Amino acid sequence: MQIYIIIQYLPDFLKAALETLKIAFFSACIALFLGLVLATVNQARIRLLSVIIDTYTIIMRSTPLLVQLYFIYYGLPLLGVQVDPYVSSVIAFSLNTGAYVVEIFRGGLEGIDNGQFYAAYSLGMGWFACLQYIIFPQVIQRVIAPLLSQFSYLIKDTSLAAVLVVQELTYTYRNVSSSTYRPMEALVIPMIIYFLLYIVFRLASMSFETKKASRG
Amino acid sequence: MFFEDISILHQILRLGKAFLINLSFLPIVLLIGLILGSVIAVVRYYRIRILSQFFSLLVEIIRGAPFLLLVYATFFILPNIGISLSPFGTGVFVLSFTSSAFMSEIFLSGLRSIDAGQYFAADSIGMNFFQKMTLIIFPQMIKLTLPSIVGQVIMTIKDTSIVSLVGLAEVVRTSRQMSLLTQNSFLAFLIVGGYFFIICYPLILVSKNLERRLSTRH
Repeated sequence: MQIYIIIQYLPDFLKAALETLKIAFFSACIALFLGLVLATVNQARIRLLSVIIDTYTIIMRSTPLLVQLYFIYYGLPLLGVQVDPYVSSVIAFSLNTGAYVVEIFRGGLEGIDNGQFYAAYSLGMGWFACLQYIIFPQVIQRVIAPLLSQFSYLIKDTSLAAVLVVQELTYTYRNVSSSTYRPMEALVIPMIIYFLLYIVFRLASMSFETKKASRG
Repeated sequence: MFFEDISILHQILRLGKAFLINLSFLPIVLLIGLILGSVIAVVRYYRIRILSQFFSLLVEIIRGAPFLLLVYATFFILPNIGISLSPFGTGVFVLSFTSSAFMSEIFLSGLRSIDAGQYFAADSIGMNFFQKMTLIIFPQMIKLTLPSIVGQVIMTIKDTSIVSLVGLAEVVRTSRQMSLLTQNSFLAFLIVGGYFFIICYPLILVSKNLERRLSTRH
């Protein structure tokens, strides 16, 4: 172990960590929005829309993220849309995570008794008001733990942006390890950063899980 | 330079052949994952001192690290300590490692969800540890955890694509080369996606089906 290499490249790694977080944050926001909207639309049970949403989630969940990333980065220009690596990786990650978020919200919605809807309707609430005041507050409690663990996967998945030469943590690892010929030293900091991020999300997810369990 | 005209059929066949490399990881990775995973799970279930803590830490570290980083690290670090692995060997190593970690997590939750009475009953009729595990506990545990095991298999299949990034000429890498050659990345990646879909989608259905059957029985 040569500690000076670790210290020398620490600023680079911290900058890269920020990049990783940025990609993960934007992707998480878009995925959350996408998942919420699609799950809600799905709840309305309009045949054609449900089929489209199902197709989307099935395709995203049964193909590798790397293929999706390539597809977007190399495929979109053929449709005449030029995208830079950063944007295309955010698109790929949010579409991928969005599919899982839809499933999580769907599970949360399915767990809610239909009587809740009928009760709200009988009070004269509309569909949207019912979702807003009655359903979502209950759904959010159920989905928060799985969402957090899904986002911890997302942070790990952002490492694939390295393939498109986005200068995030994994790319920086590869770079430092090949320019110093010290792959072992180069691994220490990114490993610690990824691990800390993972642990934060996991503990948060677990705390919500136990809260839910103790509430019954 | 190899082919002037690459027909769609030709691409499908060539990529199909390359996809077999992805699938060829499965038997060995699954076998190692099942064996190592259950050993680690048993050690952690019985809280065998030091070994248990060591495995728990190892599992958390593997679960916390991106798969790509693990692949890169294996490929570039092992030669430093005198072990030179081919891209395929790297794939087998990393996939087995991660699969064991995730399997152990699955099995541990399975072991914990089996009623303690089962353990006591096996002890009380004089079974030894090995008999108890193989005849009483494991068969029940496997049944309980089957949906998650199938989920893990799906993850392994999808992860094989990432091994292409250290030079394994599997389906994703082949499709990249092909798309450069034909200037039609859309088609090449569509075919690759199709291959993964054909294998993974039925598995997702199987996993869901198993889960439903489990939940209705209880």
